[in-house]
Amino acid sequence: MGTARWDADDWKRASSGTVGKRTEDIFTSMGLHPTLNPYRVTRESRDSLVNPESNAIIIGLDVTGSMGIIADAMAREGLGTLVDEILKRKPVSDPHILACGIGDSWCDDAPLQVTQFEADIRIAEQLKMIWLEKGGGGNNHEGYHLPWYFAAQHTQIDCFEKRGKKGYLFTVGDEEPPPELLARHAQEIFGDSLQRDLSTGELLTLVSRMYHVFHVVVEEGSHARAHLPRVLDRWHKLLGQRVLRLKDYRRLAEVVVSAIEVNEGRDRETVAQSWSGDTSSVVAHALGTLPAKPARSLFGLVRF
Amino acid sequence: MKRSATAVIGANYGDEGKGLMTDYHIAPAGPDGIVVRFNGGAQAGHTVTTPAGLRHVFSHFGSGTLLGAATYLSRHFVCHPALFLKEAAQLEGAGLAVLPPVFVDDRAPVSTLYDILLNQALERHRGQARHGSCGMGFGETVERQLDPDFALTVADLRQGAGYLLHRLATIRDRYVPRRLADLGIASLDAQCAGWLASDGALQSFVHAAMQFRRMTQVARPAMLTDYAQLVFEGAQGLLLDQDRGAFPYVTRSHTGIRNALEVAGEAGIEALDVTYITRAYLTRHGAGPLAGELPGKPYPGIEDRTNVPNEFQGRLRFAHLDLDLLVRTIQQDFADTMRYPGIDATLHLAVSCLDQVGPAVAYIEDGILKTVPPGLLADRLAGRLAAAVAYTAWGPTRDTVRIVRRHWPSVEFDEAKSKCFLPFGG
Repeated sequence: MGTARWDADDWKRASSGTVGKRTEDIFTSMGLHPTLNPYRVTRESRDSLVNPESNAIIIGLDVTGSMGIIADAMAREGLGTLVDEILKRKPVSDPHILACGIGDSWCDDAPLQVTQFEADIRIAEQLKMIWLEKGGGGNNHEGYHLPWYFAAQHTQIDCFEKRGKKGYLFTVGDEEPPPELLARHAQEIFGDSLQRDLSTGELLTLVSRMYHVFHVVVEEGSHARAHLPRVLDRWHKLLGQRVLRLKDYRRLAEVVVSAIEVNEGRDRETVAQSWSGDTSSVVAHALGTLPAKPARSLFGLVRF
Repeated sequence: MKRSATAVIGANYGDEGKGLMTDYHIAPAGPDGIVVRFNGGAQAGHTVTTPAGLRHVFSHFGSGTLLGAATYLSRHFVCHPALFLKEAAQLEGAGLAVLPPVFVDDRAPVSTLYDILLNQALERHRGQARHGSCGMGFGETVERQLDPDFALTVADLRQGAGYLLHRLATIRDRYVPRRLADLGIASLDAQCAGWLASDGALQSFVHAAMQFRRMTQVARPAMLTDYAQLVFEGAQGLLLDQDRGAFPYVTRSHTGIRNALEVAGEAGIEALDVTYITRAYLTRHGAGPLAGELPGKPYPGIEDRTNVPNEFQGRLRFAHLDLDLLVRTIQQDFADTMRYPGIDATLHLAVSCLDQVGPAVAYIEDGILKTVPPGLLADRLAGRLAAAVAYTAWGPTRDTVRIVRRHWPSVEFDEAKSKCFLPFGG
């Protein structure tokens, strides 16, 4: 997948169909769509003539009850801006984007939905298939580790395999990280037989071999609004500085682009100031915890 | 702990009044009762009319539902998630605020959208030579279950949506083409082909299956004895039995007491009253032989709101009851109870629709057409079957059911007396 190039006009055409419609109208899906089912599939991001130096980027959206509005905003404009900005600024070349809908592996029918890696308008078509289950349970966490497991075990990306360059993985949501991936859930969701449950720390180690992992805390989400210190504390313990605080969900794309830029070596302040108006302060708030210039390790593979 | 139960078995081609008798038997217990479906599937249409005038045709839920009784779908019941949801919505629409619990055995087969597709494609392909199928995929489900690679049970639904989508895609890609080839169907019409190709159809089926899973609980046979009243509700009729009916105009199910005995055995039931039910006349909905078929309704009072004509079954057909055939059929089925010496079985009889036949009902015995007042028909039949109890139903509701317990006259009716049209006293 990922054989074409994104055209900014493509997005305008796709999103013009969504203007003025309610969330439910855009995401018309009822139930897990067969093409988004992660059961026994592998997603590939491959170099091609059009995309000779591809870079894999995975965006996982929390689509549980409190977060439906975020996926909505992403469909309307966020993802289009994200792709446009990545192409304009080139923090990474030839981006291939895969989007995930994240639910709850304990109580949802569709704990994870995954698109293909796409470099063009097809990603928008697939986003529309994502089912806003509006599920989730009262367990304070959602399946943010599911894209991690999927990325680590079920993706093949040329940027890493051919050029040793990690892809990017962002999860976006308002709740806390789950404690572990149950072997039973791995069987149900991915069709994989694990010999034991995997802790979220172990999953992070696994996925960090191939991906830079970030999490975006949506401070406007209903859970985060009530328990922000606890949510941040749990994420900081896990991801350290790679926790991005999003105080305005409409600026998700800008925050994600900025985080990639900083991670690729641009200066944090410069990046924040490059956005206009309010966006600049939202981005500065989000990047607050990222190191201004990424440290380079001398010791081979490291997590961060 | 209650170790006794009641079963209701249709003695003919279905439409005998199983819903009515199930409702009647479960009524004393109400919400403390449980109804077991042990054969067939959601193609059943068991009508219950309450004395208050509420009417529902049960297909996936037990016929005790309006009284609050639980439903138990045994391993022999073919589940149909979409029809289950449709019926649940109907029941809620009818004013049932809370649906009574539904328990499902993990081993119960599940119909898929592709079984419906194959069923309808096949019946259309047959054209005038139809087999009288309801067009809901029941037979195709049973056929598919024979191949372990494509069998699907309720336990599979509990594996989650992703797994189910994966399994269904396998059925669509590998089983359906093979089955179509076996059936000699070279090409599908546009509607069926579109359905087969549609990811959206697959998606909605899985969505329905997941809802079905959430709305039901895991069934265990041992729980059955915890209820104050236990009724085994049969579906179809003895003359449609896959082994004893006239092939191919049969249903792929044991329509008699056999499966009920198996479930009762698992549950530890020690005594079982088996009520065989017939209308005062014979009906058949769908294709197939009907001996002595009449050109139309034998009695002007016959009204049937359940069996409306449909594309796959046509209209309801009629004949007079043949008592010899009926007695033979019931006795042959009841003989199955001998296989379960741990269960003490008693034969009961019910005759329904007696209010529709007017002052006299016709039946065939020894090849002769006879006429008696309706009540005497039940007496005659109960006597020949040596039934311990006879129930007579004089309307669509349970309060029209009369119970008759006595020694049946074993002598032949006096011909002159039987023509007197004596009103049957209650």
